[in-house]
Amino acid sequence: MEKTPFQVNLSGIIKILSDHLYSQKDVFIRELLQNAIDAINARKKAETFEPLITIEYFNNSNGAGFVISDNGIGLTAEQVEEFLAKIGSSSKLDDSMRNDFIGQFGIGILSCFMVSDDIILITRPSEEDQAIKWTGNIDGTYAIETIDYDLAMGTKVILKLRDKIKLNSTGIVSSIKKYGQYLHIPIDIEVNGISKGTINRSFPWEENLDGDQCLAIGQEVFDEGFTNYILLKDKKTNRNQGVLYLSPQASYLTDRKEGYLYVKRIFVTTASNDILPKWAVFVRAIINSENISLNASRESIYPNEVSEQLKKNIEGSIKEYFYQLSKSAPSTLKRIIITHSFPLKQMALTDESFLVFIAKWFEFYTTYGQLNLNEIRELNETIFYVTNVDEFKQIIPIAIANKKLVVNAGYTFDKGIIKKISIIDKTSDYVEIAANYFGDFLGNIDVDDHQKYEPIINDLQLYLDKYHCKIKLRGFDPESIPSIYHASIDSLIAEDIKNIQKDQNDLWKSISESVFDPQEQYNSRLYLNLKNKVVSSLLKKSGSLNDLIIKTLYVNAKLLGHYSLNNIELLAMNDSFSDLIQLALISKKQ
Amino acid sequence: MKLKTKQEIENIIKKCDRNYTEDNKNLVFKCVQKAQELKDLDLEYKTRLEYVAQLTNLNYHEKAIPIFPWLLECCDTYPKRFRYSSTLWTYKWIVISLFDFASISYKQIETVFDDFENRYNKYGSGQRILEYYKMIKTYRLGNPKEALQHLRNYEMVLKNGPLDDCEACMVDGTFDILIEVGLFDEVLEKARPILDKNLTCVSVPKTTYPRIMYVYMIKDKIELAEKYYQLSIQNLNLEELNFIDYHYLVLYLAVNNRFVEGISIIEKQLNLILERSSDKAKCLFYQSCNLFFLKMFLQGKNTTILDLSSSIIKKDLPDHQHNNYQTKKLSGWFKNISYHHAEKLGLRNSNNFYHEKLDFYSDIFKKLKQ
Repeated sequence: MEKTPFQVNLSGIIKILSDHLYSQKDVFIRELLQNAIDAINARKKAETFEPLITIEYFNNSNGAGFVISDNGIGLTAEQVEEFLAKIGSSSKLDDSMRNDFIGQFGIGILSCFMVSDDIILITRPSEEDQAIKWTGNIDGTYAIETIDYDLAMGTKVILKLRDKIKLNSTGIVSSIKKYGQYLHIPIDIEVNGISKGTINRSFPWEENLDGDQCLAIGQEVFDEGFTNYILLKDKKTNRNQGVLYLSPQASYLTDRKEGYLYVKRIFVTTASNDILPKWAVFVRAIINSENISLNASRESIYPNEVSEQLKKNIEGSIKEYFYQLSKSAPSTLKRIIITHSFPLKQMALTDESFLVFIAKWFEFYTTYGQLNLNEIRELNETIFYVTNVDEFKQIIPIAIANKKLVVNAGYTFDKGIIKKISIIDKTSDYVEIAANYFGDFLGNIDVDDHQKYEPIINDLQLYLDKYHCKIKLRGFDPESIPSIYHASIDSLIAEDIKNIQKDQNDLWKSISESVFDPQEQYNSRLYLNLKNKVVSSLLKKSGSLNDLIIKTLYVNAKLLGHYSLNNIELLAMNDSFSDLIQLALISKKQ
Repeated sequence: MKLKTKQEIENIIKKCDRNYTEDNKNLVFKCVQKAQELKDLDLEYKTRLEYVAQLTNLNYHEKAIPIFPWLLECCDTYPKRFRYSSTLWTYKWIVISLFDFASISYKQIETVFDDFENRYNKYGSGQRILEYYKMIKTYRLGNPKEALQHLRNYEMVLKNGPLDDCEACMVDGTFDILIEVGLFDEVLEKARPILDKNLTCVSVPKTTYPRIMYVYMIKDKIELAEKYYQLSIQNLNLEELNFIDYHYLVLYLAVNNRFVEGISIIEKQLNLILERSSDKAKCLFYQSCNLFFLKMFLQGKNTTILDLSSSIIKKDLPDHQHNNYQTKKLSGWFKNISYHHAEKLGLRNSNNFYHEKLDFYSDIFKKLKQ
């Protein structure tokens, strides 16, 4: 069967590629610089010479444009035909050459069509040869001719910018600097015939800089005053190098700070997601990789084993820096860990050996204030912790009054950290508690008191039965707290299911009761504090106000514990409030 | 985590959607409570819908079943106000969980299933999904031959319906029936697109691997069984109750004398099962435990340490000292309880299906034990 080739609308394809492949208009500068570098590198293989790239920008009565020249290896007529006229064909696709070149897809030149309708390329493969002129048009056509042209060996690309393209000279110089400053090949810049100097600098790790100088570069690049940096170590391949600046500002997991990724010394992206581990949100990186792969637009990394290895190297370098810092400057490490505790806690949860190292530096909120794990261990052999922030808030005054240190493990990652540490650390006991711990184990009352108040407690219990809440009499500090309420999540769920079951039809009611039978009559507990004046008055004798007082204590304790109130409880709260106001008004009259 | 406004609650519900974890389950319950406090019925419906999804996907069926009728009631009382299709979707999960509890009578199951079928028909679900759920129903009620007939009927209906499960789940859901009736090659054939990752979802292939492992184990292809054992371990979450998946794995480990790995699975899953009331979970998983500890005993391991939550040990498991149990006693205890639950399910279903299934496992075990 005869095969028919696809019909391609070349001008349409060129427009799609040039308009949609790249996200930035100035990317044509990178693509042209890249071609120039590759040509220079190719020539370097054959001879020794002084490489140079010149970029001229002009804006006059005839319009604006660019001329980019290099003294690298030029192209022969056959190469021009092959590589410029066939989209997707590249001189760099040959495997033996591949590693030396930045571009590899043969589509980079198309980026020029984003800003210009015509590309003129004049090239001369050697001093002996004539110059060749290739003119490509956005409509998909091109022409090749041999010309007499005063050009040394190399290539010159001339672009006339479309009228709509608005570029200013400052922006252009800044783009050239962004893409080409670390190429290690001098780039002369001219704007309207006036020299704007030569760009050619080394990466921070290539110059023998002292710490302050390296930090100053970080300040210049990121406009942020850093105090710490890490040199990236790639012991395995030595093909990835960089400097990682640690942000002095507190970082959160949603932060994603920009960095600078260079591949073969040319700028690729500021998006750090591609290169940094997910948790490293506090790092601002300048990295150059010699072996990482890029996608076709060369604006992001092609994820593969090499990119994963780079991420691992970055992770390893940060960890190693922390290990060293713990010996040389522990107070600095402490400051860094406190500033970036969220992302570091996230990271520690995935790496047990690092957790063992870093855990002692993590700070937690406790009933004794903010303490690190070492300080907590020194204060108590048994470490009590609460995994619910609301419950912790309820516990604070009682724990303090009873001289108990309790850790708040309710914040993000703290629960996971403490639970993991409790498995690893054999020197301390870690006990998860809730508010009922203090009710159940502290403040036991004298047996005589218990018997004395039992009848009135039983009376009060009748008022709270409808809330499925059991009253327990205790005597705890501080005296100012009349009661604490506790309901476990299981008991709250049981209560919820009970409420739903009440309104179900017979079929569903019998089904649900047969699979879920909350055995306990009481879902929650109200611990009354005998040391409190209101409670001790309440217990003196049964009276007409007991209903009002116990309901008020119940609702108040529940609110203090940040528990939700259901409809019945909300009504009870409103009633109690009105009754109390009325009582206050009556007593004022009397 | 802020839980004050409707927007904050909705954001949390969105985050937890299809992300079923213990923490998320508890968080969503807090959202339910907050919605109640805000007296916002629409919000309460959304939060409860997600809560039931969390409960069912984490195998808390005894809690999901009582809450589900609330959703149905909302949709019936206020037609068109709530997402009825979502409630019907959830209904599937509830219906199939009823079979696992012997305390739910056959008549109750039939009544609920009729209601389920009527609602699906009225909604225009199409026959495909109904035949599929009849397949599950008849299988779980102990009639695998009838289930196979429904499976064939479901396969004949090519037209998809709006309440169909995802294709990967539907194919995966047929494997237990095909295994039950011994159509092992059909399982392997149908699983091919799943195992090749051409047909996947959130649950599949992780739930497929243990079944494929079991099929290869029965066919005595140990290298292949091992491959799927390893994939099962890599993909299943031991922190969540997955008694059917893990009961296959424990059987496999028992046959292969891999006691260390088996104990770590048993410890985790047992702690979870002991807190639940599903008869089927206890019936199947305990039989695997019975055979596992029997194998330990036969291999001369007379005692073993099991790290279980203390309150549960006191309540249920046989005599022990400092978590040190006699394997023979453990085996006997698991066997008794396993058959006890099989009897309960058999009494409800009026057949010996589960009893025979446990016997079948014992026979296989004898045949394969090394």
